[in-house]
Amino acid sequence: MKLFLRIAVCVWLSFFLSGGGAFGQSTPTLDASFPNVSFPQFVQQIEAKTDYYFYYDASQLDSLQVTLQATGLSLRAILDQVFRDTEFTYAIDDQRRVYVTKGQAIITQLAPNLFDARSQADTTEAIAYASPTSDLQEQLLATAESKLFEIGIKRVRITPGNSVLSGYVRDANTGEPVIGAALFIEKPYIGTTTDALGYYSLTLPRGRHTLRIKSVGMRESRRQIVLYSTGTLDIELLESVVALKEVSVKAGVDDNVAGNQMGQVKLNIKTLKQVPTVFGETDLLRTILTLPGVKTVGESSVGLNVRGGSTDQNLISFNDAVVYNPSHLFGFFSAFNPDLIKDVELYKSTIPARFGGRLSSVLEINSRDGNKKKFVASGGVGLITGRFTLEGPIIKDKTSFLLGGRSTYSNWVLKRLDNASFNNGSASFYDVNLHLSHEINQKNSIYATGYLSSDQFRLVGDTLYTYQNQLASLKWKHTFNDKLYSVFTASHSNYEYAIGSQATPTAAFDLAFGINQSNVKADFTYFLHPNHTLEFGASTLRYRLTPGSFTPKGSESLVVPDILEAEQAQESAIYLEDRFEVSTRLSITAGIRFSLFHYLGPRTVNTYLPGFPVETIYAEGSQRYERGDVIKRYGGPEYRLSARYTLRDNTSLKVSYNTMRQYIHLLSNTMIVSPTDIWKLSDNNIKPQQGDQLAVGLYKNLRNNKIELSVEGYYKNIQNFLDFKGGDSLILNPRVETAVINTVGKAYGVELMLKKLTGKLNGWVSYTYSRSLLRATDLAASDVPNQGAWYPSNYDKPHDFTMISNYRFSHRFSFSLNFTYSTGRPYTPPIGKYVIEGSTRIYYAERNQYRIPDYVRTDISMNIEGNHKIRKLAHSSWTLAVYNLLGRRNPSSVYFQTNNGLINGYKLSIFGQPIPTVTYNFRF
Amino acid sequence: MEICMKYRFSLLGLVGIFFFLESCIDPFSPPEITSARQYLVVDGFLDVGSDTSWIRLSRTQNILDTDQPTQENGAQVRVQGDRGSTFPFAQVGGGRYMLPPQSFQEAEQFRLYIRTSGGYEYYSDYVPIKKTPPIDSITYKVDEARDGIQFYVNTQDPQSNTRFYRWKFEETWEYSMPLYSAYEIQDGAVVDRRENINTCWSSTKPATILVGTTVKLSQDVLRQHPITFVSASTGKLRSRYSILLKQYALTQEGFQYWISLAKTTEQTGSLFDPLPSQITGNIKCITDPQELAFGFFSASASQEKRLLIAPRMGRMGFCPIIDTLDRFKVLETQEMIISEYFGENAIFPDYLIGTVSCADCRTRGGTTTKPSYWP
Repeated sequence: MKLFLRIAVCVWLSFFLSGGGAFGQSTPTLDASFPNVSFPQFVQQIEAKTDYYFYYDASQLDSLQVTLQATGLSLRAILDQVFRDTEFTYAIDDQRRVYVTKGQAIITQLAPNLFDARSQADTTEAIAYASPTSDLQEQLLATAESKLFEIGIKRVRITPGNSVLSGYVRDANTGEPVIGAALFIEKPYIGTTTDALGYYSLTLPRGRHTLRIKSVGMRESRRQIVLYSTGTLDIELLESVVALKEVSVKAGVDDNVAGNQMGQVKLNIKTLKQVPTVFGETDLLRTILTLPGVKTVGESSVGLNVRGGSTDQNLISFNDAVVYNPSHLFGFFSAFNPDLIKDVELYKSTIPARFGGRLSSVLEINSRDGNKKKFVASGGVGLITGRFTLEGPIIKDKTSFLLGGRSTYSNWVLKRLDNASFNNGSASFYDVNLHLSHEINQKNSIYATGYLSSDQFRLVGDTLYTYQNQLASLKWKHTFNDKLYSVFTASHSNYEYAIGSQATPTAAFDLAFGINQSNVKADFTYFLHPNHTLEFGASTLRYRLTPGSFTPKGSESLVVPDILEAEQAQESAIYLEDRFEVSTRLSITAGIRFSLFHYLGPRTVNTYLPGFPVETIYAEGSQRYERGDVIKRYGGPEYRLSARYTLRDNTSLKVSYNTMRQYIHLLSNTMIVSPTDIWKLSDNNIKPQQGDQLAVGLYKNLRNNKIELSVEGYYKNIQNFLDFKGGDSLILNPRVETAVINTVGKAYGVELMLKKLTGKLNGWVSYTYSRSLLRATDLAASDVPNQGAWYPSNYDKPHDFTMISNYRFSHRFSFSLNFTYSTGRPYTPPIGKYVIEGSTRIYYAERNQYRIPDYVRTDISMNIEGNHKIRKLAHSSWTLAVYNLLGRRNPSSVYFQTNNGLINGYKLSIFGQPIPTVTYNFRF
Repeated sequence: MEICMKYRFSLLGLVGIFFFLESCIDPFSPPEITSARQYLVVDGFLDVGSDTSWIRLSRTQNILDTDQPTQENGAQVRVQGDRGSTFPFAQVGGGRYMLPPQSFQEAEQFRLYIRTSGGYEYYSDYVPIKKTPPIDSITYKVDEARDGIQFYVNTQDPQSNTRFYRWKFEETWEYSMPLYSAYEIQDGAVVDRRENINTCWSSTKPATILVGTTVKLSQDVLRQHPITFVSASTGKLRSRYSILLKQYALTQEGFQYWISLAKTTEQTGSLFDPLPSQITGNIKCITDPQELAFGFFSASASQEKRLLIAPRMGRMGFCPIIDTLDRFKVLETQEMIISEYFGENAIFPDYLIGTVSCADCRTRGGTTTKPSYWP
């Protein structure tokens, strides 16, 4: 078919260009009889009787039998009969050439004004046009590459100067936007990348260019353009099918060296899928944990500690809605269904001014858009969870939906176990996502996301833990003109947990905590000048907290209700950021964000004696504020600066300096993130956290960009960070400010990373040296750790080595090997006992001066794909993996218990043996 | 078919996971726990009143050690004033050092100096003499709902110099046994019991750390400050009950030391337990800064007051007679003889027998000696 077309086009074109033409000939009629002849025979007879000449693909038409009696019919009438009820159509041009095609007829005439621009007379033009149905997609896109696109209002003479080219880059199969695709022309070198909606805008000199488009996981493409004036060009890219096996980790944009950002990592779902995980299912947060600079305190926890920051200092957002607890089942799983995720982007040093409210990092999780062209179902069955996703168009090419669900059947299994203590246990969770996207027109698109996750577990004992995340976001993207576009977002997040116990009816209780926040924001991008891109916007969000309630459960319960008063606050911000391309070598991004926080009534707040530490014994009284009263106001500027200087073509140096403010704190005095941690807003007693970070990085690409080498160093200061006093409860504590210790923190480190992106062997190796230290500031307070000296934070793990490797034996079989080493986390052991005032007291070492044993783990996994035919009913794959292959008993935690007056130490290894898993994935 | 296989895998997986959760708890005793140094522990204070000052020196122990703490003998212990006065303590054995009552200059600040036999020298911080105001009264309230008695202290310092208080108390109570043993065996014969072992007096000194402050108040007055709650179920309130309360004035640092020490519990460190903290006190080793010392040295006089009440709350337990023995068999019994029993037409009495734990109050820790202050 392809060959036929090409020949036909060439023949036809050469004829046309030679200028010969017998136009306007009369249509001859035919008399003929075809008694069940094959189509080639039919053609022979027609060609013998007339001067028509047929072009067709013999292999397609061999089997067509023609039975026809024609008397005085035109060829058109005959062919109409021949092809009736078949897929074939035909076209006849002026030279009496007949083109028989399957599906769509060939267009035989060009636009009348095609060759008006004389300067472009040597244009190669696409003249054979076939419809963009799925069959011909590839040919079409190939054609688009050779076509010349005319942008703007056409003129005979192109006036010198610049114009703006903008548009969307989309996936040709699914219609989803391609984010972070690089678009550039080479002479002069001007380029940009698409934003989160696949939108790009480029200011180019007017005239003819070859626009190249590159994106990870997509086939590289190019467009021939003639830019007459400002205009739009939408580009569709084809997925690179072999990329299923490609490690496509990107630092910043397509190019580690040329991008302005540093400390930014983007992982797409294909990379995520290669990393073996404990239960065989792709786990977003666990993969993030393999990146340099990202750590967690416990193996069973997905709390992220980014560059020496605490777990509450990460802004985790799912389609722009903030996620407060990104985990399932005590932190064994992340709460995101891998089938719905498109990519995840982690910012750890250069944080764009549009983000704020957290000190350490921003983790943006983006879901895919549903397939806009056809319905697709996919899913997987793993050890503990099953998941299913359905997507498809609501209005073809305009509106799509993506619905996914995931649940566990561990409850079902627990009930079938013989052991009574397990039978009583229960553990279940589910999450449901719905994502809708609708393109109103070229300038307006709307996206809506809903997300719900729920957890319930009761492993031992009778206490039932439950928690829920509910998110909703609505995004409207509007393009004002080629230079200015905007995104308006409204989102709402709700997180709540409850603990219930009914062991003794008289003491049955419910303990609950909840936080929700509603955001609205407007973000604008303005292409001020070819060298200046401005981003600006404003946002405001409302926090509402239910800090805790302890209520009786059931009629027999004698529990006295204890309900803490609600908290509320408003956090608002405006920002402006300019990306300035000073020269081809130097690029600077400078941003400022001004954030303002109002802690609001109604609420009664505790006051403490001035000059004394904030402790219960020095409580002075309380003050009542009514609705609408501002109890406390905080605010200030945050600076975001970064610069990139290209030393040589493949080497660059980047520097960034960021300041951040955070008005919300996670109160957790347990060693790991637990479901009973509570969030607290800054108030009259607890000041907002402030941080600044200076980072320097050197980036070098070797072997034609196949190998990326990077070294990043950073130094961070943190003010008003909260650590916790020994022995004080945080849950239901009406004076929670007395249980915290104000500290300053510092963190520094060096991150080395070597990545190989292509080839049969790919993956990355990283080594991090980092420290994270705290120091109490109020030395007059009781319980000052280590007499006010610096001490390591709970997540200070100086050495960290990670290797993620993948070897592709064939297109269908690949093997992954992961290796992780990290220093054990600090802990505070009881190291002795003594007698004072007649009773035995335990004494502890200074805070965090000792470490639990080092962590070492090796995992392997194998991916076996079904065959690679693109068109078949169902695509399936198997993943076989062994987590902790060597069975090392890495302690998740150590603890001490008093038995018969003696204190014994224990270490708990949750995954202390090799854990084999099998997962089956399908898609149809 | 495929589905079945998958379920089987998941079943195995889960069983496995919970099995691991059960089994992968290993003992953990790293060197920092098993070979911690034995630091000096200083227990005591300078009594600037009319009582003898006691300082007890001992050593910290490994947490796995089951022995009694090692006493530190042979040390030089002195109290030094910042105006040159020195008061040496005398060693009395058992790790104890004493200083008879002395007269101290009120304006002088004092510190403790210790030189151990091993040559290590320790100094406490200088502490001022805190005068302790007298206890105004001890009051109590019968709490019917909780079935017990709550005791309170009332005190005040008209000069408002005290502000921080600490209390220790000793409780003494009278109790009787359900069975009265009237006879005992002596020299192979049943004789009348010479000592009453039905009623005893028992004392305890709870180690509870009790502190209070008036910093929030405009006056240095404590009214109805709770001391202890005694539940009737403890049996302490059945007859008479007495509480001896000692009051000490504290400095702010001392107050915070005791508060912190009270907060550090003996149970900690499980997966979701709060972080512990290290509390040492105000004594430091100057020979080797790595050498810790535990304890808080302070200088104050104590004030005390006693309250004796007769609440008669709580019920005595019931004890049955367990046996009736004739006059020969009774001589071999290990239990208690409660009373004689004459059967019909009997010439010699049989004896009713009760258990030791029902008749001998000394088995419950008390003594039969009535305290001098008992009515």
